[in-house]
Order: sequence, then structure tokens, then C-alpha cells
Amino acid sequence: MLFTEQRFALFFIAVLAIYWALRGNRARKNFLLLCSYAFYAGWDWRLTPLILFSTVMDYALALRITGDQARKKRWLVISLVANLTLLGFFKYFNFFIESAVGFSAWLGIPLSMHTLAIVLPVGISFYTFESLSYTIDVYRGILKPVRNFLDYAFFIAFFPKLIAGPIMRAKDFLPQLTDGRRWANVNVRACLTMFLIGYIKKAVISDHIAQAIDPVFAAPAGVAASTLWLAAALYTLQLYCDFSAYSDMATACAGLLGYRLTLNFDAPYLSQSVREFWTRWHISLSTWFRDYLFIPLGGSRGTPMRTAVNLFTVFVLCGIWHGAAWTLVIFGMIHGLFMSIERFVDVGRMPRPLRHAYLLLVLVLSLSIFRSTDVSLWVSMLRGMFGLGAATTTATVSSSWILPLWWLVPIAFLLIQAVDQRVHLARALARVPMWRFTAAYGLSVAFVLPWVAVGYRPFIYFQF
Amino acid sequence: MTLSIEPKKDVAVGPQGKRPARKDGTAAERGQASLFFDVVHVPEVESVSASEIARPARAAAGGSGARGGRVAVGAVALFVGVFLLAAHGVRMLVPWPSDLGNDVRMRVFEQHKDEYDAVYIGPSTVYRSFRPDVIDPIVSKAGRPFRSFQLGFGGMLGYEQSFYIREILAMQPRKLRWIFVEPSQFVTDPTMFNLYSERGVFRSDLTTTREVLRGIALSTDDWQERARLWAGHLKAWSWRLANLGKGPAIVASMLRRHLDADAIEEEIVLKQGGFQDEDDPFGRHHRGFSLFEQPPPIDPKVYYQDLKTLATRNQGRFNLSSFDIESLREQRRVVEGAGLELIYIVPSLYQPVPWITALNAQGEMGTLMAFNSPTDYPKLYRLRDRIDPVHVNRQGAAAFSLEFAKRLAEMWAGASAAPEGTR
Repeated sequence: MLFTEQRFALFFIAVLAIYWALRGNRARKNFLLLCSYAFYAGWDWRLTPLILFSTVMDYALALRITGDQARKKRWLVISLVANLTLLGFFKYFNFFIESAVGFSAWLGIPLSMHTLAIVLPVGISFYTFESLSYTIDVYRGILKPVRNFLDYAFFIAFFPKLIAGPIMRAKDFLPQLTDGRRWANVNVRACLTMFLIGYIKKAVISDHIAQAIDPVFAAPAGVAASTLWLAAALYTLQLYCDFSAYSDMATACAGLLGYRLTLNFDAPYLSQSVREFWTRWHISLSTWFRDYLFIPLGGSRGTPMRTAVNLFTVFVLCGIWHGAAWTLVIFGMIHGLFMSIERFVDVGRMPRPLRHAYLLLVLVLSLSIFRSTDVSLWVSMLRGMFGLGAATTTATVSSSWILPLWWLVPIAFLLIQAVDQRVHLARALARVPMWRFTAAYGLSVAFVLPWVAVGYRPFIYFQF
Repeated sequence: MTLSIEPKKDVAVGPQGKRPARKDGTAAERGQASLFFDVVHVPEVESVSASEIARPARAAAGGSGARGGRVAVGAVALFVGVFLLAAHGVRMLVPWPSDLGNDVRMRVFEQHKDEYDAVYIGPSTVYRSFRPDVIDPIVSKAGRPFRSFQLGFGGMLGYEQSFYIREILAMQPRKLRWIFVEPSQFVTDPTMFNLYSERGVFRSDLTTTREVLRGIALSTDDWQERARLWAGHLKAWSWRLANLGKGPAIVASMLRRHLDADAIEEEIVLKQGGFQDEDDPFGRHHRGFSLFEQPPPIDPKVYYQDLKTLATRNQGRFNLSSFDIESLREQRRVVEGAGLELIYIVPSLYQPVPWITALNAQGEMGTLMAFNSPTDYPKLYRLRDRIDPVHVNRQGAAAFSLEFAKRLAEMWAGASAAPEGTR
């Protein structure tokens, strides 16, 4: 059930109406928990036991960590191993098998191993990281374990952020469960506007771009360099619109239910360095890696070289987090490399326009491998982009109406980034009379829907 | 080259120390405390008297749940009202569906609607068989001035036929007197119905959807299947209601009209009374389906063998219990209600249609002209006149149109007034 689908709209309206009609915080939370599991089961009911298992395990282990101080490290290790094993098995098992077979073949040792037909549980990377952050925070003493199992289950399963984040921290979310939510405290106008903005970014911009560039990424060999550059630039725009749209819509849905989700995007393409980019892009993931991996590795307390190695390690793992593919490993390596380089080279000395251009170039090139389904396709694309492959086909960025509007791309970049500065919008909206807002909203929806790319496409980050 | 200065304690993946100075720190640092979220959702501890949340605060202070409920209902009603009004306005701009050049034919008919006495409606067998340039002179010569227009669209089945009949009548064509329709089944299965295609959504207006839902309710499918069909058709209806994805088509149509891009095509369509054949210079009227790009070779032996048994198969038993007879009657009521005459025609079909025989036997078909008898009309079944077993080519269309015109002239002349059942 995608946020852009009609059935989600029906589901959410029903949930919202019943939720606010219920009396009492406990009843509301239980109802939302039930809805969250129903939402998850809607993807594939066979996956529900997995999330339940993960929830029960970490709930119990967190209690053991505080109840058994002498052996708390052991309980934490069990949590880490169990969570990472689940993640590794469901997400990476086949990747490791295939890579091992490929490597042994390269060495001249033929191996025959079978892959398994494993269903990738949607959202597993997201809820596993949330679960891990909980047990680690309890271990560190930052957080007391939650006694009420249903509260913990609610934190893990809360449906707006279950499938593709933001990755919430227990210390940020659990306190919200103690007090009753009040409709009076919900800024309906800001939430609805945020949802509509997310909807436009996904259903209008991202999906149209996807239709246009998918053929190019599927077979980049022989395509003209200008087309390849345009496709790569459009993908950069698409990915941002797609993923940030999910966060926008998730935040808006959570907001309408009275809950706050963490900020996930902060106009990342306005950054002036790769380092700054990662403080504005998928913030909930980058801060997770910072707090639970980079700092335990030593952060930047060692030598600059050690810091660079730490950064590189973190970003390779960040790439792997995105999926079981060598393209994503290389994506992580590229970003790790630039993060490390920026430790030694002061990008800030460059003129401002150059800094922006530098970042966008890194993004366009690195995100093109993020999009490519195969390393060889990416190499083929890069060769074409730099004029090393002869243009043998006349393939363009599809027959879509986007092609003649290429000049809109940079404008769209800026405009869409500006949308991230929503605080002003939200404040302004809060002062608009309700009837005027409602009428304007009805009008906006009527004029937005005709521009939707018909046919639902899953959000890109669902696969992670 | 410089070495960056890092804070001594915890260090972020990002350049905590190097981030351009902002009053409220980096987004990552702000996290939940972000200003935006303070506005989206007001923290419980915070005073609710801040200007941006003044209204909800008053509502809370009032503690009047009933008033809040009324406000919510009012807001939803206002939203729905404005949305429907605006969507209706947008819908006026939505062009006719463009597949197989149907948009051009509908547009030409709309522009010249007051010039025609009759239209032909039906699926590809109508689309390929009726040539107004052949029919009109013969009928006119028989003493009745007659000008007709061909509006057969590939795959146009029962509900879509009713939709186009209503659309044509809504244009209020002054001279129109006859609507010729090839009877088709009222198919409710979304996959067969091409429901989510441009055409499928376009025809899913309230009346058509109501008819289809009724048809599904009357069907003998199990409740799960009926629920699936209901949901599918309601979805298509909501797509139409919202003009989902129609923006590019609206703009393209406006541009084409502004540039007069379809002028030549419109001229040809007008000249041929809507008939388009395999010689169509635009290449989209006759071979919209890849199936026909290279027509499969016809095995003469099989073809003629099938024809021999066609009469028997046409008379085969057919259980009408799942047939939406009510929609068929409604089709007639609509036409006759507008003061026009509905005449059902069965072209020289290759496939058996026992359900038409059964309906005719029950007296549901009214006036019916049938040409699906290889014995009576051997000329209409010549293999050289077909592009595939089902469809005739230009030459076959001429032969059929000639036969049809003669029969029509005779019928109107009173020589053969009795309607003829399908054989």
C-alpha cells in the first residue's frame, strides 16, 4: 500500500477518523498498533512474524540488559548478532553466495552453490536499525527500557515510518507515547500541505522522470553523451523527490495522528560539500551511522588518516545498507572517498558556485551507479558520458514531455530544495483561515491530480 | 590543504565543526527540535498561545467536541465541493481518447454533427466493415437522403457502446435519426474491459459505472470476484472523476488544435465518413494492435471448415442468466427516448454469436439486420477480402457496405420490413 495509492487514502482516512474518535491514549495506541500490523501485512502477511519476532526479542533483551548489569554486554551482543543475522540473511545471503561463486570462478576454482528464493521483507533495514538503536541506547544508559510491550511494539511498527523511515530513535519516539495526543495540537494545515508537497514530488515529478529515464539506464551503451548526462541529472532529481516525498508524507501522516517524526531532509542539494550533503540527506540514517558506528570506531579522535579510514568504512557499510549489490558498495566507496578527501582538502576555499558545481557533479556521477543495476552498465554509462563510447543509437530520454523541458531541470532543483524550507510555509499556513485553506486545498488537489504519472511505482527506498 | 578542526568529543559523520554557521546548528543537531516540527505538531509542554496555532488552541480550550465535529464536517464538505467543481472544470478540457485515432473521428463528428442521419457504433468488426462512401449514395438513390458516419472503435463492447451513444446524443445532433449498433456483450471483467486504459477510464463516468456495478451485482460470480470487480470499476470511476494523469493530454490537445496539427487527418476522416482502412496514411487507424501488424496467415482449410459449422454454432444453446439484459434495454430506451431509432446489425462475423440468437428469440433485439451467414452471403466471406479470419479489408468492407446498403434500402422501401434474426 503506497502513500500515493487511493487505497492508502481510504485506509488513512478511516484510521484517522476512528483514531481521533477513540477515547483514551491506550485505546488509541492499541488501535494504531493494530492498523500498523495490518498495513505491514498488506505488503505480505508472511513477513509479519519476522517483525514480531524482532520486536519481542529486543524488548526482552533490553529488559535483560538493565536487569542483569553484570552480563549486560552479553545481552547486547546477542541483540546485535540476532538483528544483524536476520538482516544479513534476508537481505544479503544471496548476494554473498553469488559474490563468493563469482570470486572463486575468477580464481579459477569452480564452485556450485545454490541461492535461496528469499523474500526481502519490506522495511527490514529501517526497523532493524530502530530496534538496534533501542538496545544500544539502553545498554549505554541513555534510555530506560520500556516496560509496556505494546508501547515498544508501537514504536517499531508505527506505520507511517515503518517501510522507509525516517529511522526513529527510541529516545525521541517513546516519550511521545506517555501523554495523550490532542487533536488541538495538530497543525492540520501544515500536515496536509506537507502531504500534498510529498505527493507532488513523488507522483508528479519523480514518476514522470522515471518514465523518461528508465530506458536510458536500462541500456546506456551507444546513447549520446548529452542524453546520458541529462538522464543522470534527472535521476539525481528523481531520487531526491522520491525519497524525500516518502519522508514528507510519513511525517505528515504521523503529524495528523499527533506524532512527530525526525527531520530527514534539509535541502541537501543546496550543500556545498559532500560532508555538508550528508548532514542534510537522509539525516536519520547518517546520524545513526554517526552515533552507532563512526563514534564507536573512534570517530575523528585519532590521526587524520585513521579518521579517513573510519569514514571510508562507515560509508562502505552505508552503501551496503542500501542494498545487496556491488553498485551500492561502490556508491558507498565513492562517498567515503570524497568524505575522506574533504578531511584534507578545504573545499570551502573554492568560490561558492564552484562548490555547488563540485557537489552536484559528485552526486550526478555517484548516483548514476546507485541507479544502475549492474556495474558494467554504469561503466558503459560513464564511458558514454565522457565521450569514450560511440553514440550508436538515437535513444533519447524517452518520448516523454520532459525532454523539451530540460532547461527546467536546474530551476526544478532550486524550487524543490526551497520547499524543504517549509518552516515559513507552515507558519504562514497556520495563520490562514480554515475555510480559505480548505478551499485552496481542494483547488490544488484538483489541479495536481491531472499531472500525476498514471500507474503506481513503488518508492525507490522501499527496496532498502 | 588544511586539516579540519574537530570537536574533541563525539564527532559526526558530517562536518559538525565545518558546517557553515547557522544560528540553530545543523539539521542533524536540530533533529526533532527543528523549527518546522514545532509548527507541525505543537509540543505538549509548550504554550498553545503562539500565533501560528492560535485557532486549534481555541478549539481545545472551548472543549466543544460537537463544535469541532461540525467544523470538521464543514471543512470536508467544502473541500469536496471545491474539488468536484474544479475537477469538473478540468474535465471539460479532457480530449477524446486518442488510441486508434478515435479522438480525430470523434472531433470531426462533433464538428459536423448536424450533417449526419446515421452513425455506426461497435467494435473492430464495425470499424472495418462500414464504408459510408459506399453506403450513402446507394441508400440516398433509393429515395431517402442519407449521410452516415462511422464511429466503430476496436474493442468497443456493450457498456462502452452505451457510453458513446449517450455522448453522441448529448451533442444534440439535429439530423441524426438512426444509430446502428453491433450487439456486444456487457463485459465487466476489468482485464477484458481494458479498464485502466485511456479509453477505459474515459468511459467510466457515473452512468456507465452504475450500469457496470449493477451488471456485476446481477452476475453469478462469487462475492469475492464481485467485490474485486466493483473495486476495480470504482477505481476507474474515481480516476475519471479526478482527471488522473490527464494534464499532458489536455496540453497536447490544446497545442495540436492551436497548431492545427490534425488538419489533414481530419479532412480524410471527413471525406471517408469516419472510415479508415489499411491504406490510412497516418498508420494508426487500422493497425493499432500489434496483432495486426503482420496478420497471421489464414489457413483456408480451417477457415472454410469453420464457416461450415458457423450456422450450427450460432444456434447453440446460450444461458442468458448472466447477461446484463437490463443494460441492453437501457441502451434502447436511451436512443428511443431521444426520438431516434436503434438498429442492431451483425456484420459478416466469423465467430459464432449464439447469445444474439438467444436474445433475438426473446424479443430483446428489436430491429436486427444479420449478415453472419456464409450460406446467404458467400461474397462477404471471401478469403481474399479478409485481413484475418475476423476482419475484412477495404475490398471486403466495400462488399459488405454494398450488401448492407441494399438491404437497408430494401427495408426502408418496405420490401423486407420484417427484422431478421441472426442465423
